[in-house]
Amino acid sequence: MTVMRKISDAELCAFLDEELPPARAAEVAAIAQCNGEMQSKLKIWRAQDQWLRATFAPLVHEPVPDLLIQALPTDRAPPFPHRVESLPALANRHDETLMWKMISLTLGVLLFATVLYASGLVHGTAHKQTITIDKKQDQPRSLRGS
Amino acid sequence: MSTAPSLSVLLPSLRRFATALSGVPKGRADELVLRALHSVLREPPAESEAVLCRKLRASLTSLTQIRALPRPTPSAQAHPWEAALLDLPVAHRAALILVSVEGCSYDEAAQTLGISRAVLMGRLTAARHMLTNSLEDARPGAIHAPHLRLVK
Repeated sequence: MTVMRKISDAELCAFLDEELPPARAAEVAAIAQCNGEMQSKLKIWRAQDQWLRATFAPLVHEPVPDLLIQALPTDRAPPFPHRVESLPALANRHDETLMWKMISLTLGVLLFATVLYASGLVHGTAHKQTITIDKKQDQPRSLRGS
Repeated sequence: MSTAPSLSVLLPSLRRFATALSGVPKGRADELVLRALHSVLREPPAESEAVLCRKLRASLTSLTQIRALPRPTPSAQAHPWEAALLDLPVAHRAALILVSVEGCSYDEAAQTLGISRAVLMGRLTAARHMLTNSLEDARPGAIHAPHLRLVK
């Protein structure tokens, strides 16, 4: 004698959604046919599914607003800061970015060297001026002392 | 993979999912879709249309959960299930809509929501019981199933 497993509500749902293996689905169908309680549940759950589909299914036939169409990424106008790109495009952009980085780095080094050199000149002149001033101040003192 | 053509094909069903899930007017639902697009397109391109669709639906579910959207008041003529659907926790509602409206398989819906198949089945059953009980509350005697109880 074959002992049939008890049918849980979750399994009955899976039967309704055609998610049970064929052999188990056949068993559940046979048991449900003789069980008023299960038939009642299946009936109302089917009605729920029909209501859900009737309420929301027509929405897919509505025109999509421009707001969303414009948000889709295109080759010419990326809508978002982080654009979705194909791998070759990313590789090309990487090469370009590297070139610009190298140019910026060279210019930066040159600018730094220029600033360093210029500041050295200014500092040197100021130092010389200080010495000159000091000498001038010292001179009267030494004259006074003599 | 070309993302734009795939997305344009997915947009109508994404709008439907957002509207059914959030219960907000269509304009607000479109804002949710826009946010989901923004969030998913920041990531590396999806390897297939199915993965892209799953990511967008997952993002819409998270956005609906996080943003705690104001619950719209159904009209007096509305079906009792309309209010009951909005009373469901977002995770349960998402499971029911993915399977019943979007036609996802259990495995697909579970993967979208990041849960196991068993958890999905539990949520689906609970959601269906809650809708059933709401109808019984609104129209006593409408169904002859006194044994049905709220399953959380």
